[in-house]
Amino acid sequence: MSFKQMKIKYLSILSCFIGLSTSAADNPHLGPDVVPFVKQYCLDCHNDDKEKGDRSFEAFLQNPEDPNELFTLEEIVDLLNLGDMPPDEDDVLQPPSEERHKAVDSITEYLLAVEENRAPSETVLRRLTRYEYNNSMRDLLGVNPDIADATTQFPIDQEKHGFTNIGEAQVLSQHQLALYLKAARIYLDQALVFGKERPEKKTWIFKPEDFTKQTRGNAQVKYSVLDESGNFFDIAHGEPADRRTNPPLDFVKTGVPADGTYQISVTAEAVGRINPYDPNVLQLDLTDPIKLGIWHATEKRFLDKGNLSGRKLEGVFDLLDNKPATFEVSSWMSEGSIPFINYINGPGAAKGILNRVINAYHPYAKIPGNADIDRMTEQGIPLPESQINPETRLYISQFYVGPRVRVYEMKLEGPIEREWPTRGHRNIIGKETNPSKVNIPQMMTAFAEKAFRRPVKRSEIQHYIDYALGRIKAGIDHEEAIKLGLSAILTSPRFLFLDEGNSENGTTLDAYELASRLSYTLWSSMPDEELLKLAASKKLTQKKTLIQQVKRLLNDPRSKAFIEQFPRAWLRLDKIGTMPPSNAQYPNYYKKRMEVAMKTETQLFFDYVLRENRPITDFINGSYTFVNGALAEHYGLEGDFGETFRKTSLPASARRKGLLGHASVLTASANGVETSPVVRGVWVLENILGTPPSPPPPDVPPIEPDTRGATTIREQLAKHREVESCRDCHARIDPWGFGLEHYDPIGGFREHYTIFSGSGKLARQAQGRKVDGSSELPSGEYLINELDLIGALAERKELFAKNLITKLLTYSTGRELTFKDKVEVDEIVSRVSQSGYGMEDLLVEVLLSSIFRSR
Amino acid sequence: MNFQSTRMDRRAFLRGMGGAMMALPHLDIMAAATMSAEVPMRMVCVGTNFGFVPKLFFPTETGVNYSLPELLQPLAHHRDHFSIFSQLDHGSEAVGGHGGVHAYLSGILGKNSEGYKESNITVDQKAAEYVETDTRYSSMQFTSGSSAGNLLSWTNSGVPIPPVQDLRVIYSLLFQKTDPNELNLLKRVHAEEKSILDLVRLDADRLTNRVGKNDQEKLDQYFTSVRELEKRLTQSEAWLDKPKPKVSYEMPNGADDMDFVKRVPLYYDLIALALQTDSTRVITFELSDIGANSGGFPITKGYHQLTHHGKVESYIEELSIIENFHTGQFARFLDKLSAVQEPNGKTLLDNTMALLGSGMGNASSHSNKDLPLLLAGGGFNHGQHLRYEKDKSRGTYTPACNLFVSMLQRFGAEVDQFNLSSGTLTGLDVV
Repeated sequence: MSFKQMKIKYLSILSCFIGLSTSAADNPHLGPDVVPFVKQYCLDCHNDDKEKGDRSFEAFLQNPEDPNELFTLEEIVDLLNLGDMPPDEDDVLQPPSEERHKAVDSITEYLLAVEENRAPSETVLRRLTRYEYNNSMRDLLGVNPDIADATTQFPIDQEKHGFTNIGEAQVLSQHQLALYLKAARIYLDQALVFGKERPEKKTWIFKPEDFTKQTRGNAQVKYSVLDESGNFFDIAHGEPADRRTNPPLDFVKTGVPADGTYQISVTAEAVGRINPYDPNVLQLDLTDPIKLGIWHATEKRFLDKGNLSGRKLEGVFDLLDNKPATFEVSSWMSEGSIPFINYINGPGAAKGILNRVINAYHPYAKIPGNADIDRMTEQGIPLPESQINPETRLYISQFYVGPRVRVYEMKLEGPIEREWPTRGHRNIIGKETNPSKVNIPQMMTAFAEKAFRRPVKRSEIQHYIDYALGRIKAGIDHEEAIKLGLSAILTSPRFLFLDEGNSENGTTLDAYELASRLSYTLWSSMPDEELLKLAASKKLTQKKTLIQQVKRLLNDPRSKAFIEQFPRAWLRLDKIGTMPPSNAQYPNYYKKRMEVAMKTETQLFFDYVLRENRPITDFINGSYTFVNGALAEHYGLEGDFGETFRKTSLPASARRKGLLGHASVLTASANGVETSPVVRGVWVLENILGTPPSPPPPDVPPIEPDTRGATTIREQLAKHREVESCRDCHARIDPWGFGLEHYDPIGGFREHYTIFSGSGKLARQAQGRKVDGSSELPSGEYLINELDLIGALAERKELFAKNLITKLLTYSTGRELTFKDKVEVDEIVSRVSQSGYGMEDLLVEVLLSSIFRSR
Repeated sequence: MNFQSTRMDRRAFLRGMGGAMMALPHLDIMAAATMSAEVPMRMVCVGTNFGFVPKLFFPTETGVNYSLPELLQPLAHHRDHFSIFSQLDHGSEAVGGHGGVHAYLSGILGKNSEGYKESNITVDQKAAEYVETDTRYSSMQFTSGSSAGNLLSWTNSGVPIPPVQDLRVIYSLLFQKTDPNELNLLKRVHAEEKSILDLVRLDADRLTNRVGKNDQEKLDQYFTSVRELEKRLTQSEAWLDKPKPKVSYEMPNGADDMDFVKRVPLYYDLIALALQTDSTRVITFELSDIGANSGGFPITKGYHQLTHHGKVESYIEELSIIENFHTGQFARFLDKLSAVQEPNGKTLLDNTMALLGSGMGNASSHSNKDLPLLLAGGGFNHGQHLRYEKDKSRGTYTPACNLFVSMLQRFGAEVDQFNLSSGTLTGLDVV
């Protein structure tokens, strides 16, 4: 880059130094070998006179640790790494490789240390993430964001190394602010029920004829046929993302009349799973039971094909063969929602399967298409009787004995809530449903205390109260004025940001700040009454109380947030779904709803290790996991699992252990198309060992993978071993990834690579080269395959503990750790290792640490 | 709106847009440019997520007589209206594979934006600064299906602007008449929102005294957001009373549920109309997710998967179906623009700079080097393939931001640099 660009860059680095108060003792130092190295091998060309390539290092040599010279060092190390400098020309002195390595190491270490040092050692003011905002609204207003989400337009939270709650990395724009204002209003409209009566509980019984009037079925995309008796109807089409849903047709116009919790019961059975048809004709896996999905759509338009965002799956049930049973789900639904069902593991469109069956078994039910009729007419071929006389026509529905969901009845009942006004309304207003009778100053003060998560004097929010009262004086109705006042409070920075005070008043968090930090860590939501009471009495800062509260919060259902969000950030599960695999190559990923299943597995596993206080090494080499039918099949495990997840042991033959055997981790560390030992190696270094590699030099041409199968990934990565400058870093990365080559892009075990070729009817899969999962670590240890890899990781359990502790501290404090935190982290590691590395113990240590309790 | 007009009609048209437009301050800057002072310049930037297969996109010969490679064939009849550039990129500043794609219009990665005075502002947002209140919307951002990694427009505070996907919403933003009853409600809502902003600003003031030094920057973002939102509310209030333009164009029913291939032309239709009615002069259009049903393309694999063709011919064939669609639709867009005559005797295409490109240079290798960049219209001297030299060992290359400087100057911005540019783009001249 030109000088002008360099000036801009160093000014930016310089600006980061202003205002940072670090003592001289904390400043990192450049290794003593660097200056002599540059003098000897670089200065001849890069001095003020010659200025080869527009660069002179004389200024650098005079002041090597000057912040202005950081970019010089970056350039030097990049070009040394590339092997581009010193240039390979006659009469240019080349450093011996040992010296070059040492110089690269020294510069890299120094630059890393400088960067770490630059990170603020205190949490920077954090804003609620979208998830935290929704949970806080749920607890404050009693709304249901997971079903009726007012934040769908929110911009994506900026993540840093997987964490979305790092204060320093977050940004706020006027777009976001406008959206906060709108979302608050939407939630308030939902929560408050002024002037409304409690909706009467109603019951709807939907009979088969309410779903379909068709008594004859063809080879159609949607096959939904009413039996002539009227007692049941059959569904032969279906898949997780149905193109044609099965709601009760007339009900679609209105949906449910009011917000509330509704129960849906469906009486159904499986028919035709055992049938005389050849499996090659059906082309449907019928070893699993036929499954019924019960859903609701929040709006009519989500019943149409392509529109999936407003559909909520409430339950999946294994239907019994030829034995009707009733299945029940219960869910909160917003006004206008419509329940519907589907044959969730069906053949997709029924057209294909029915056509094949007609052609093979029931040709008399074949109905000629228009093109056929035209052709026959042209050629003078007599049309079949059924064409001339429609009453004699035969339909496949009269003969088909293939797999179908047979439905007898659907019952819908609700809202089942007895109390009125709603919980949310009572939380905010109380029992009063007449807005003009509300004591606004009192109500708003109490609300602000909850929203701002600490005691609030009326004077602090007088301006909000005056505003609401002023609106009423100006003629606005009371309900509107109340909602305006409350939405203002919900847009205040005191709600949106986690106020953790000022370190000039001391570094320890006060009791209220601690209460919020604790609840947002374990619940991703606001503190409850008990936490705030303990904060008021200052008891919360006492060790015994703190431990007690940690355990209480973990036992509360709201801790589901921690089980979901922490592993997501730690293991980068946010990447799942960003590069999904091809439907043709990995159909089960979609058919068997594996994305959801694999995330559930990891959550259940993490939850178990935590609650049972298992040693954290279970994360590395635990010989058990949690699977449902789809995952059991994926992993090749014996047993009958169905839809329910169960703990299961992993025999040696399963060839997988711990988190590195989880489909979630293996999918998140691949790109849906192919795997890479480098990508997975980096994943291991970042998320297990906590020793992430430096980024590659900027001008390295990326390799273009050759998936024709001509070369293996190992051969393609040969350059990593042959080129000296590449070898340094890659010798530390690649060996941790080769063992994982035994898992395909969605975590299925393989001894051979698969070559996919052709498409559509010509799609083929062939066995490719054998997987070579062996590698050698820089320490000299030789790893034969993935099991050795896991063994080697388990031996490094102290590093793992340190990494896990660091990640937990990052998650719970909303900042990245720095040099200054090293000492305490090491102490925690030591305590935890002495007590057996139990996960719950480790978490408690983390939350008792002074890092967690300080700003 | 009849543009084949006499002076009379043009004045009537301007009156229809809200008479205040008769005084267009920014056009004084425009007068310096070699253009008729009556019609403003527009800027449209289209960005795809996965770029184009280099050998199918870049011509081999340079200059004016180059033969059109496969992907440029759909643009053959516009040959003289566009220039294609090769070997331009953002150097090592915007490297990151998929993670570097969002730096397409800025040359700076989001995560590195802190150190720069204007963060990683994109060229469209810079241009929007020069439009102020002359149009209903200072800029607009559309997408046919967004991807977090391909957000095109970033503000000068390092924040990506969320694009609008719903065609119904875009149509209503541009043309939906506000019911007179609703109008009063809207005005009241605006007024209330501004009052609320005053209230929360007071809390922020008090919070400033409570928190530490490092937190100040975050609160500053809050203050800035409040200030900018107030400004936006005030600006859009002024527009509330002005009627939206009348167009005879109708959105087909169920437009938003259509396949990608059917929806994309509709976005371009709306973009052309938005420019034609001067509802806005700066638009970005993000093309990322092709949605369900393979987007309606006759392909058998996912888009992302096809980009990892690993040199397999059948993959490249399917990929080129999608990429031909992109260039074909862009050609259709240029057709629309060139069919509109504007009051200065030029076509809407002459008065619009339309950029097609991506922050991805080669998706198969995840390279962000040698970005595909094609600039049409804007009154430049087109019809050529310009290739820019690079010298890796000296680290010399031509920053793609130089193109943006040229575009900004043409837009009427008085700038001689933009982010990491080194000057204007040599070889790209105004007619």
